[in-house]
Amino acid sequence: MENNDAYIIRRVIDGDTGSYRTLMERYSQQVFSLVVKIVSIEDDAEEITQDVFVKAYRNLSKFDFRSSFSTWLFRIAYNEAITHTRRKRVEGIPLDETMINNLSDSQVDVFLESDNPRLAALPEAIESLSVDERALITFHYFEGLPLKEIANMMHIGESAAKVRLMRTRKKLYLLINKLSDKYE
Amino acid sequence: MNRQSPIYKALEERGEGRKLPLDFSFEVMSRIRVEESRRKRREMWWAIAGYAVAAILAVFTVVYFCGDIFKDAIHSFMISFATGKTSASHVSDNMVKSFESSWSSAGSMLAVLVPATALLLALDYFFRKKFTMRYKQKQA
Repeated sequence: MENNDAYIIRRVIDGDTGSYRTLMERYSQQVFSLVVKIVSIEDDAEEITQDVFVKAYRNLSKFDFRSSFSTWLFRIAYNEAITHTRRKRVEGIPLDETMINNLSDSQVDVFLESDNPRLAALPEAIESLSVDERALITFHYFEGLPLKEIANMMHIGESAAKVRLMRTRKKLYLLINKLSDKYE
Repeated sequence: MNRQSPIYKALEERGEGRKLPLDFSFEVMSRIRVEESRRKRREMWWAIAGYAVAAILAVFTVVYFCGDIFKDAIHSFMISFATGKTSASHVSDNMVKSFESSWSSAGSMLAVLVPATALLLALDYFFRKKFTMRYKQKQA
């Protein structure tokens, strides 16, 4: 009970600021690991993770216990990462919209789950995605969050999240094929 | 979540070997403590300003509605102090009248002061809450 997140959160809200360190020690690496996957640069990720915990502390009384504390932190982390990256105006590789639309879902699915040598370009392709898209695939493929939760985090509808995920996979496919010449 | 998926593995690689520095919690706690003390100081100044305005308005209300009573009472007190006579026979008619009227004025004074104080305290609470929320939103 005393190690329970809810118990610690209530203690912090009641004025025991020191207890917040326990929450931070419990989740900081997890949040950092998520942020570093989204923003790539380690120093930026550390700065964002700091901002996430300061912001979470300020808004702790607004935490409604409906989701887990880690999900709530992820939501803040996503917003902070987006804000941070927008400030920096990072540009991705432009892709032809018609090419994205003409790709079939099954073609992309089979390719991305295969052991095709072209997939060596996958890390670079991920790097070329926008921060939103990187966050989306990190939540889905790495954190294993359900689409409903991801949609909620990204302030979009569940069907929009599904469409965006498929679109991101298609973009990855095209990017891999564009970049893979270097790896062959 | 499929740990064998190439996307999972590529994402895992992105985070590999990246750790937060050991003093991370200490740094964040320091930032939080600094912000906390700033917030408390800001709240304290708002409280001081709020209660100062309330006090000024309360004094103004008392002087405005009951100034005559006090003026007569102070005047009579000064006379009796100067002549050294304090018996009832030397109490001026004006003073008696003023004390009589003071009882009737006391009701109206309370009728003004109590709602005025309640209103001021409510405004103080409302504005402090509003400014704290605005501050929090700004910070967010």
